[in-house]
Amino acid sequence: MRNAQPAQIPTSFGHELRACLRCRLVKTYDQFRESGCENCPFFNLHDDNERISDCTTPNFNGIISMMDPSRSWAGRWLRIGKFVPGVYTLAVSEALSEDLQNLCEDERVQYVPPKRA
Amino acid sequence: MACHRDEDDYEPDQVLDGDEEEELEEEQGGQRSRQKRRRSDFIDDDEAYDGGVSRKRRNKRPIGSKFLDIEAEVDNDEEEEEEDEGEDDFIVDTGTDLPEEEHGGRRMHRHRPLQPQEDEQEEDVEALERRIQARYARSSLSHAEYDEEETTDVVVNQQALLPCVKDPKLWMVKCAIGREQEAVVCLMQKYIDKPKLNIKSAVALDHLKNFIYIEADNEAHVREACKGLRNILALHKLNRVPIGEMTDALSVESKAIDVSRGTWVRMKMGTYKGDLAKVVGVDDVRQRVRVKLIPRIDLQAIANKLEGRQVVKKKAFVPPPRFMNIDEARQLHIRVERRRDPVTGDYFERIDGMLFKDGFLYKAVSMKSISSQNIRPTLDELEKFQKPEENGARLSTLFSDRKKGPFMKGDTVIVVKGDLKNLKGWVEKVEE
Repeated sequence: MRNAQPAQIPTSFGHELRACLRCRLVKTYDQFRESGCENCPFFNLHDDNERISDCTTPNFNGIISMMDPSRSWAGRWLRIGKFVPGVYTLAVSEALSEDLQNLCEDERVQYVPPKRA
Repeated sequence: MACHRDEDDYEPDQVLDGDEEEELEEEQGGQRSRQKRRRSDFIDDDEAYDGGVSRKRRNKRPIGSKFLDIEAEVDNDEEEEEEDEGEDDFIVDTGTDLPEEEHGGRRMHRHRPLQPQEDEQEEDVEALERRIQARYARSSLSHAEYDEEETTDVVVNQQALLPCVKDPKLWMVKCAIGREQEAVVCLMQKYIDKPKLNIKSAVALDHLKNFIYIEADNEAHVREACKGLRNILALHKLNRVPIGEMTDALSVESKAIDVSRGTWVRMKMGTYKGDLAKVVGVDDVRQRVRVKLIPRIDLQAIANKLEGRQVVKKKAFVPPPRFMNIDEARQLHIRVERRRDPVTGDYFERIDGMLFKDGFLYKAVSMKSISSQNIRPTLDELEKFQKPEENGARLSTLFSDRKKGPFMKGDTVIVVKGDLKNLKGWVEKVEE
């Protein structure tokens, strides 16, 4: 089985990087603004600065390039095996706000809040 | 056979292995010429996937399963099916549902990129196509079922996701220090440009300097992927992460959210290195914070600078912390502007490009230049920070230290009158 079309790959490193709070996809702020999140289109991040700051975070820990999510053990272990190939983080530090969690529920997509240390 | 290969380190002898096995098959099928097989050695994995798979699998299953008893303990059948929809249908096909058999079968096709049996394949294309279509039609159905299950049963036991012998392995690859993220992103880009890269994932952890992990079925794939990446070093010694340590390798804790309004932080560099500061604003996007601190300002130096006088630069001189006294600044003919912050609406005194309020310095700094973990302000520091607020923010009363005059112990001074005029010195003691 082939994987889906990959997500955008971050065009820079460090500061500008943000991670989606639901799927943990990592891109730059500008990339989220230009084309939203490939796994979570229902967030409508496109051109919505406020939404981007609600749905993504600069506080995350470690990155993983997921080339072959359907066959990768790491993808399974980190529960990103069903998302599109792309650069993800291993852990985000924040949870989605309640409103946005409700949105996920309405959209019938799974949301797993980060484990607290 | 497959299992045996798994436990040993993956070596190029894989090719031989494959040949032996094929000989077995050859005896059964007995059609293909040696030449053909040679050629097929060079054909990529991917072509083998859809072609040889089904037949191979059925043939080999009994062999694989002998070795795979152990797996059944850690692996979860249901999870398995969920993750690999496309493939598990073979089990259904043959009416068997033992997970170890499936593993045996899958191993086989994954690790044997060299047996596409072109001749047969050509004959069989149409039949194959039908089979594949049937398979996907069914798998999309079952997928829907699983999805539903998943939403109700929110968290599948993490235990079920532990790596087993059939999974790809992790290699630890040496990487130029500070380039870990970059290397990992470059690998992703390389994969997109050239999807036959064959590695599954690449990981850069914040706490692991000098190394990245690469997940792949075998070491050759890791080497192939890293070829030509300048951030990857020492490819000759790759270390495979033992299967039991794979989960540890990928375990990270969510970083505690460090900085928000009101957080105590310490400055990491510059004049204020080590000083306590309080966060008054966070700009997530630009990764900057505004902090308030007790200024370490040498007003005399500012006065000199503003009047164009020569600035005596003393190396490693750090003015002692003390609240800004606007009156004192004015006495030195330093221009003090009053500014309203357009965002917060607060008024600040602006001196030489710096902003002050209630004697504190308000400074915008990068997230990187403050530390926020385990900050324990001393009682003394806290007291000092509280002072202005308690005293009602009247500037003249803020400076208890300064009541004795404009000088404090430790100040560098130049005598301006009398016998000692123009001599430099340090304040030793201040008396009323």
